[in-house]
Amino acid sequence: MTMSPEEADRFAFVHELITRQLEGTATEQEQQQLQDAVTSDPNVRREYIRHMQEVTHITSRLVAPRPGQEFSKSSVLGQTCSTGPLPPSDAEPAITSDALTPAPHRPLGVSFLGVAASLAIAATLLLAVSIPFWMSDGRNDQNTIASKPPSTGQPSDKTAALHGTEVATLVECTNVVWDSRSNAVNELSRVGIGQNISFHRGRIKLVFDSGVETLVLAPCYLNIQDHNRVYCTYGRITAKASAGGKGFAIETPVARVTDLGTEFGIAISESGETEVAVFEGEVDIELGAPDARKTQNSQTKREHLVQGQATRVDHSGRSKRVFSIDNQRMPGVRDLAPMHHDEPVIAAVRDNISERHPESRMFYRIVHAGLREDSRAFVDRTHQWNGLDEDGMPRELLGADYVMPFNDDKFAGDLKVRVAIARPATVYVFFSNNTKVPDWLASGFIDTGLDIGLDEGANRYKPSKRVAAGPGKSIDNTFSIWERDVQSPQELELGSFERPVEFKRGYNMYGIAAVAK
Amino acid sequence: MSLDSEHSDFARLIAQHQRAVQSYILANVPRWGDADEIWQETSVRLWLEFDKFRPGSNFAAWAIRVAHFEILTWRKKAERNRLVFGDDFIACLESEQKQFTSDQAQARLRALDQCLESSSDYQRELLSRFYEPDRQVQQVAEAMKTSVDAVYKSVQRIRKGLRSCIEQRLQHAELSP
Repeated sequence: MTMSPEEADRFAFVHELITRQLEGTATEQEQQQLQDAVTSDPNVRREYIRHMQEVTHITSRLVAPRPGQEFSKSSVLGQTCSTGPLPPSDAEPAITSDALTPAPHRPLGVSFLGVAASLAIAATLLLAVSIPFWMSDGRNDQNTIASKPPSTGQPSDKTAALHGTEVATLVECTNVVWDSRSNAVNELSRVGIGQNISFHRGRIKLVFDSGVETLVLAPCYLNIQDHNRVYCTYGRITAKASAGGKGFAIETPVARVTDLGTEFGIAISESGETEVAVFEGEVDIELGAPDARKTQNSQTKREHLVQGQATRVDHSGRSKRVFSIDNQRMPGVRDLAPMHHDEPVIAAVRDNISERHPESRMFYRIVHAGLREDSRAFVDRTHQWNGLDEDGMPRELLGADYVMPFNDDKFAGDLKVRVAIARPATVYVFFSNNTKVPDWLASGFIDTGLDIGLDEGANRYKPSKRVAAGPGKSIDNTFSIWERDVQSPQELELGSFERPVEFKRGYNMYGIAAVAK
Repeated sequence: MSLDSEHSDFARLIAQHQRAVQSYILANVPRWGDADEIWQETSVRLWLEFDKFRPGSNFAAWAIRVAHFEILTWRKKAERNRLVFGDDFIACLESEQKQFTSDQAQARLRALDQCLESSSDYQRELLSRFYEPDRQVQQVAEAMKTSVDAVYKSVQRIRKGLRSCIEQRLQHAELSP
């Protein structure tokens, strides 16, 4: 698209005067000329603002730090700010963030004033030193950039030219043990293109400037490839994108996963096999190793996954369904902390849908120690479990392991859901009161007489419906709570159910939960 | 909200929106050193006032308002012999604050990122040297083994090319389903 002569003149006029301003060579007359034009002509004003936005952006993306800027932003920050939980006492001789801190570690919490002052100073130093105005000082971090990038997924020449450009911030480290001193990154440090992130214990939260939040779990080895793309050799990453982060991509040894909006999780084994699960929105997956995809071009095999679907891609580029994904192995970016740290009760869930529909990619999400008010009920809906009144849900259910099934499983005629129970437990099924009780439930479970409510979000029958927060609000359906004692580890088989007579207002799949004895 | 959590939220928001604030400051005070000084003051002020920021509201808009007051404070202190824009210029840009935070502005900058990636290594090298604070254009010309005039012309041509690229990408995005 070419500019009109008038636009081109305006562009040149603004460009020249801004250049003189930035160089410090503008005369008083030129300053006045620019001021008059900006204040009197809306077109010049718009051009001026765009020009300044572009200059700022280009500078932050491309300009390297001043040579001789020797001090490390992270070490300065480290002197005043705790970087989170201390490493485990049995930490191996690998290096932690804290170990890199040159000054004695001063934990927060001596007094509130002390904490506030410390944070304020830390923030001041952080901002004064780690986020200088135009300087992208990623090259100061060269000592934290490993010399050897992943053997596959090498950055292109163009990406290499942007090497060191800062594109993300490490906002949180929890119990992290880095693989080596050269790979250690301090909390609240900026992270640049080409940088390797490698740690074998703990978890980090990395926020990209594009608005993508990522949660990365050890053991992990990843390389930042550009402002919206990482290469992960192995590890687990969950990414949540705002509208601006759409297009965020994770490359793995066997696939490339591109976010088309909201949240997905990915787990790459050390052999490279890749699992992808979509928690919200949708993703595109290109199957096959990066080199193979380059040669295949348009014949690259692709898969499109939507919310509630998951797949596993192997080395030959074949994919198959993943039946269940739990929140310990692949947590959501903003998941609430578990309500306790007992061993899991629900180990796995499978069904017989793939026998009839091998193309199915639906997965069951297992949430350990997670059942509470407003817990999401199904992987493919925003419906929530809630107590029927302000007293909340039955106390014995709080903190239970539970399963988020596919709500559309309700349509499956001969469904068999197999739930692996890992230890003695009480297993619960939440079954809608508007649906006829099936034989498998009546014969294998006991109705406790307790109820739980379902607060429905938007669905095909009620597209404008919204969920409310807390118990006793916006309850749309009541479910009876059935229970069964399980004395030893075993697999329970649950079945299907008939569509209710009054189904025009919609009906729902059952819920599953378990509490250890 | 815990202090740790507040700290994390602040770092995340700053990381996401700092360029919008910085471009506003630079538009008002188009000299690297001065703009840098104002940004440092602004970022400290943002942290100190962070408890007044309502979660979920527009952080960039709030931060730009804070930056505006830091600009006014800086102007009072600025040496008289410095060239500074007049009050009507500052007021004029104040009325355009939304342009710095709009979705359209964000879309333009995302497009600019893509355009930079598709630029040649030489073009990026030249821009990085040209916009490096304190670097004289004569030094850029020597480093790039060309003349001062050629540097000016090349930078203008590259910037113009980037602008066209941005418009093309935005138009393409609009036409795409």
